[in-house]
Amino acid sequence: MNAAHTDTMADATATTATRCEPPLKLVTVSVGEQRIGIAIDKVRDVFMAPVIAAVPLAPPHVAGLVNLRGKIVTVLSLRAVMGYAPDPAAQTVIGLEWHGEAYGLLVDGVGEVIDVAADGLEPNPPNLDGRWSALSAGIRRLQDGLLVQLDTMKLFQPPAGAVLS
Amino acid sequence: MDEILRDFVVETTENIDLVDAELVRFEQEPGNREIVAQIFRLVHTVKGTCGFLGLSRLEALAHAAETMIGRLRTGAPATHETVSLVLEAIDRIKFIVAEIDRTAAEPGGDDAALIVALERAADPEPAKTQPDHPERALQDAPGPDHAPAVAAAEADSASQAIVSGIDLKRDTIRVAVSTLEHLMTMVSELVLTRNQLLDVSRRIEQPDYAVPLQRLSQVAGELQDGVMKTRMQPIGHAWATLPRLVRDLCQDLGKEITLEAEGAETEIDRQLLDLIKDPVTHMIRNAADHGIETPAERLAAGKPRRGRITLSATQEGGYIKLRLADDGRGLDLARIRRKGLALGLISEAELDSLSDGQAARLVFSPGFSTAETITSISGRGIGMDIVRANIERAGGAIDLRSSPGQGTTLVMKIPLTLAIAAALIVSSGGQRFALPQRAVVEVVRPRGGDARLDMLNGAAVLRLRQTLLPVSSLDTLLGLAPSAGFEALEHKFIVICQFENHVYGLAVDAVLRTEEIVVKPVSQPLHDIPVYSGTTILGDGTVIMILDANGIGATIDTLPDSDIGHATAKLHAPRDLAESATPLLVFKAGDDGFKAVPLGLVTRLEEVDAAAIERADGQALLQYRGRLMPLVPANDAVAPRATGIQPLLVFTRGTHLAGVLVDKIVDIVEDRLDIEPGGARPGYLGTAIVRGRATDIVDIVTLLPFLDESPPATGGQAGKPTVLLADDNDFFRALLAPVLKAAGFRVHLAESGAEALRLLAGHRCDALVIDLHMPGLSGREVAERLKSDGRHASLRIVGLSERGGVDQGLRGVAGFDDIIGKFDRQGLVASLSDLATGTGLAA
Repeated sequence: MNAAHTDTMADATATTATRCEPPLKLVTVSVGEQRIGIAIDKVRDVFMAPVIAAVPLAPPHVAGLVNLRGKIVTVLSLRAVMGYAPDPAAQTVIGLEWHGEAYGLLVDGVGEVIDVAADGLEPNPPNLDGRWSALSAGIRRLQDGLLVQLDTMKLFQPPAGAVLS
Repeated sequence: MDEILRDFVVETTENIDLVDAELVRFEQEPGNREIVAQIFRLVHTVKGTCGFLGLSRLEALAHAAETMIGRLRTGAPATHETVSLVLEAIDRIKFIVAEIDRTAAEPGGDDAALIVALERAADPEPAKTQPDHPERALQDAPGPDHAPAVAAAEADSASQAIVSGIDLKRDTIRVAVSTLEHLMTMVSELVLTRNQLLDVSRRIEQPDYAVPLQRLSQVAGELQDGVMKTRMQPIGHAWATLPRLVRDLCQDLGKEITLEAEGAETEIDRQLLDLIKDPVTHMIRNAADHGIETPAERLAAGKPRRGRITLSATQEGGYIKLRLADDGRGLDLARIRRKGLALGLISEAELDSLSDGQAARLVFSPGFSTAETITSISGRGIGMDIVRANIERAGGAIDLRSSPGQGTTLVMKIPLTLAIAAALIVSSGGQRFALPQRAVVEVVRPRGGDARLDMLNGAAVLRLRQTLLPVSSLDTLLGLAPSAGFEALEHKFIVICQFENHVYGLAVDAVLRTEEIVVKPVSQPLHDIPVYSGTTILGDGTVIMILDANGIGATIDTLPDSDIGHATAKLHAPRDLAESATPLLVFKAGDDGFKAVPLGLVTRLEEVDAAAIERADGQALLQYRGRLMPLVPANDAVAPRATGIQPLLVFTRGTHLAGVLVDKIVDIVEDRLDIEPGGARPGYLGTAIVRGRATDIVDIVTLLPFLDESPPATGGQAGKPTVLLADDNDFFRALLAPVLKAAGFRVHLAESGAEALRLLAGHRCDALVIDLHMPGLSGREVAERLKSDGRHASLRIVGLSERGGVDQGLRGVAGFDDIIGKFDRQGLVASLSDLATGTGLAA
């Protein structure tokens, strides 16, 4: 993955960014039609998980467990979190860490790493689906559409949990 | 925090812990220079280092403490006050260091008062101390060996500290725990990779690889052991603070207690070390607060003035056995019983049958705390239930014994390591799971013999020897399959699990193997699922869940839609609920009337194709499981069918096998058996009302005499040992008397406890076989009376129980030599067999 996605919009924001704060790098992933950005400093790795061991009785957003080089990773399904039907073919996992435990976020696909301005985040529009707004740090306007920036911490915190269940 | 500061904090904390333990010894042996020197070194090092690190508050305090301890070191007497002062100074240093650890800076505050006190103690009027201790002055004064050391002490102490520091640490290095954890992870992965390679090499024969692979395998194994060893620490590390704790407790409580520790060098996984620290501390508090009496009380009871708490650790197999004993007053069992009753932990009915051991264990029940007033010492909101929970969470077990006036002993069994455990790998619902072996009692197939499946109130139960266990299918519990019917369960393996208070059968599709698994904790989103205790990676790289035997037990007990919980409750219910309830197999044979046999005698129910029945010499036979089984009609009115389905009751005993032909199997019911003696009808024990219907109880023994065959009895007629069989239930008397007779005993019968006592007074008996639960005088009461009466010292007393495991606790207490299940005829004969051999009966 190279961090080379630049277009005029990104250029413009990057220029602004140099004035205020250093630009932010986001890993873009997709779930259904929606593009999502995850701050790159939250992402430990990106890996393919052809086999995910399901855990009976687990909450619906837990896709299962994966053995990643001897480490057990708890994989959460972003599709399930967002209320989409599960996609058995999905195997792209974004590695995250929370409280010292290894987590993975199962997504439909992963795109480029983009540079955005640290202050270019807009508040969630009021009509945003509750499931999205519960996890969203805010919305970014890109030239080719809107991007929801994921607040990964909210995946693990009670408010998100309440939405999940 | 900067690295030098961090090192300082870590090292000082460790040193303080060491010194803490020594200080108490110092108070007991004030003449011990070695200990003073050690304390002095600590304080000196702290003082020296904090000047360098710019920690001025700590420096001032350490300086004052050093001066005072220096005086002790040069021979000033250690009084109670000076020791307390030193302790206070060390505590303050500890506090400041802890704050530095937390905030990377010295906390604000003032130690002026303490410093003044230390200075005053360091510089008393010499005239006052010396005459008080003339013998010490004499002791210390000459010492040609000591003199140079004392003289050089002040000047030399810094270098001394450094030298001894190096001495201690020459062959050890400090490694961050996270480094070890990482190593452990990598080794686990190496072992998994090796397992994969071995798997491959088994499938593809490549002789060239065999030798290096074997070597790799061996090295990986040794590496794993080695890394495991780095996690081990002496258990004494968890005890370092205990002498100090006991000392402080003595002062607060006005008691005198000696703490003795043995086996501090026993090694245990450091993760477990942390887990047992709090429970041990709590139990010491308890022993000091509730166990040990005040000196006055002890003297009045004829005990030494000073109480004693003994803590010992020994390794036994893969476990550490930790024993904590006090010589105090013991538990107040009467009060515990009252409290248990008040809290609803036991019923009035159970109160009588509760043994002392069982009563003592009530303190482990949730919410139980024997102290009626909560003291600052042990009433800190955590009780023995929490202690037990902590120990069990660590995979251990705890038990206690207490004798009035003698003291209380707690025994804990803790696994050496949490990281690796032996587990049974089972499969259910298409997935594999690990079941920790420590919870597994045995694995059975419910195929007759000792283990049979029954339905009880619509729930599956396993009749295993004398006990009735709830059975649940793992796939159903985990939501992987709909509720399994009786038929489906019969084809499964049943793993008998026992953990804490839960005993149950867990039905699985297959039991694959046992494996040493590396236990990893479950992640946060899975925490709330009670049936898992961890996760692990199998040799083939698959991630599987480790089942929590305790959590599953609790789930089974509370299953909302099934009667299993109810059935279990019924098993444990007091006698007035389950009284004499006997599972019966009801069938029809020959006429329209209902007939029944105790289900416990039936091995299996079969429905076979009548065409398969063969005949030889007028005897009906059936090829059955590779053997030829004789078929016997239930009565003269029954004949083998020529066509259609023939229902059969299969009975086995040892190598004997027979089928009883019936017309129809009606039901399995559990009901009280009130048999009205059936006149002289041969083949029947009598008639009982079962589920409101008059039912003939078939005497299956007259039909199949082999059911009563027992090992041939020895001993002549004259020497026949005599057994008194006391049971209020005609059915059981009728069932057991022939068994005992066949085993070579002369049998007397009694219908009640009172009658048994009367007969025993007039007859000479070698053994009493008595129903535990009888109206009027119960078996337990009879046994207790007999044992307290010296005339019956040689009488063997065997209790008959319908409640299996529940009553096993009576064995050895309450006068019972043995407890046997009512249907366990072989067990009964075996229990009495040594009487029947004839030896020792002459008298």
